[in-house]
Amino acid sequence: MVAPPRARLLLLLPTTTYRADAFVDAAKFLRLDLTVASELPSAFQDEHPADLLTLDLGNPDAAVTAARAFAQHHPLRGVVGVDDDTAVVAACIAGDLGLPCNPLAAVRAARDKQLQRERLHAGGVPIPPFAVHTLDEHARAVAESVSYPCVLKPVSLSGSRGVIRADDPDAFVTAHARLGAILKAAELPHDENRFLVERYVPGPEYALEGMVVDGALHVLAVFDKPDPLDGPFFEETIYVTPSRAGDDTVRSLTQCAQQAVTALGLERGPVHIELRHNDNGPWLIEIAARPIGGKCGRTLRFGPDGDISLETVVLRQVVEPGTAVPPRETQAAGVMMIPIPYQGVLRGVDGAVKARAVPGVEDVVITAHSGQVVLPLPEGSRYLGFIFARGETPAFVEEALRAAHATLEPRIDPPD
Amino acid sequence: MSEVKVGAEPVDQARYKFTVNHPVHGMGGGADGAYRFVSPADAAGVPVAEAVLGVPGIEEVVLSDGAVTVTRAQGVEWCDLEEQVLYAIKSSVTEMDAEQHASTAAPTVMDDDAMYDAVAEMFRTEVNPMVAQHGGAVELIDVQDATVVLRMMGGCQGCGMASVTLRQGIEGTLKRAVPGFKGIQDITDHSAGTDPYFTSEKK
Repeated sequence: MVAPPRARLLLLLPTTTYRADAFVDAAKFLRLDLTVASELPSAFQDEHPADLLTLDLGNPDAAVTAARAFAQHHPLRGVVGVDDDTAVVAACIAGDLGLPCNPLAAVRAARDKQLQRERLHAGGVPIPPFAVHTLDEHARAVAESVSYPCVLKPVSLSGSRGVIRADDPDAFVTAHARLGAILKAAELPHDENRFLVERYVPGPEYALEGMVVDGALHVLAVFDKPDPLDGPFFEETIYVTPSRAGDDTVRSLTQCAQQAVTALGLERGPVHIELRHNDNGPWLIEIAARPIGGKCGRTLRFGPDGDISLETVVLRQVVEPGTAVPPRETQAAGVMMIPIPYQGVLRGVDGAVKARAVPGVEDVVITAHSGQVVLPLPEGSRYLGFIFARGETPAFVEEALRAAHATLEPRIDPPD
Repeated sequence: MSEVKVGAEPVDQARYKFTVNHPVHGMGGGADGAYRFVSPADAAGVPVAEAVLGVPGIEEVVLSDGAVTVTRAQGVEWCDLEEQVLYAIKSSVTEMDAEQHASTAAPTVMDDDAMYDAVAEMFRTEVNPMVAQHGGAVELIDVQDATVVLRMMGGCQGCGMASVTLRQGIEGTLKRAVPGFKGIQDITDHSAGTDPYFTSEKK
């Protein structure tokens, strides 16, 4: 009888996220009452206790207890995580509160590359043959036991961090040592030191952005990755959509992605899926129960006027489960994750004004800050920034991104 | 605000209808123009229903435009209830009217100059002491058509959570304290920040 209160959404936003603006803007667009929960307190938390919350995002049990207490005073309509880790915490909290969410086991499997592959393999999804090892094992012994070329991949890092191709046992031993240092520096919980050794699968790579509704995958976009990803490191640079791969290939990638969603048991929410395609068909490389990373979501716009963001689509599914997923705009769009050319201390990036003036370029955002130590892959965990472009064709967009990138001149001093 | 007048007439043995010369629910038009309440929890936030259901012996209240229809429990006499219900309706409608009058009275909308002064004071006394905890500062640049133009500095400039500070913190603080405030425009060059409090990384 009384008008229902506005929907309040709990958004789990780690302080290291690139996506704060996008999600906060989306909540505003949807006129949701928003509570932002981070692992460290906001300066305004005492002033606005309904809108800002501190949760131990590294400890799902503690986060559940705190969120349950919060929800008693501020009833929640949904809980959203924005990255791999918070997707798991969101499922824990939402499950505890009886809100619609993915099965926890499915989200956990998406987060852990070993569990993920075990489930995908059991579900008959085409994945590269793999084995699981730990850094405690003798590197040379493992190197002698695997097939080449292979890829070493830590089970718990994201964004191609620590992913290294090895073509022979000597390269494997070198990669193994490097991976050990990366995992040590990452200070993962429980001294996580598992890594996968996967057979290297040749062929062009694609990214599929999707929304799962009642277990059915709705494709939001399929991106080409026009820069070859042959290793030894796998730095992602350019994403362009729609794909130029042809209808048959896109259909085949989509079917493979749906198989993966089903095999993991994901029932709802965003998915970001990496696939390859070669003469043997599609290969599922990774699946994550979250939207595309970095600021790349800005590439995607939806609805007839192109005014609906990816994050809006994500949040709307949380507060209005099962609502129709709008189609992407008709223009081609792309992003370049600006690579860090070498290690050092960033002093600035020149040429951004020129880059923004390149036809088709919508924006150039430098996210690394002056004075920051920057590291390229496989050690690095940050982007220099992002270039966004839009235009009539994927080829035009790709060219615009490359032209804009060519004008940028990062000034990086050697490390002290 | 005119005096609240309440008339009463029986509908049947169990029900009485009270007519009121003021709106009684303030909930807009329902699907059938009427709202039924059977418990205090059900009536929470609807003053007339809350008040009438607070009278012992009343088990149902239906509010429609200018009318309150009340059902008594079995074994209770109307002669014991009528005055209490009349009082409950009259006092709650009077209170509701007073609240509505206060909330719809023309707010003191400030012009941009006055708003600038008010916001500057808020920044000095509230906002900046808070962001200073994170090494940050916020500079008020201007107020244009009730939109506050600001620049973030120090730990806020380039901070990965700057938008959260703006939307969940500063905007809420200004909304609460500055009548007529429309929003914030952030003109910070966040890419030029050299010491952001939170820095983004791949996850």
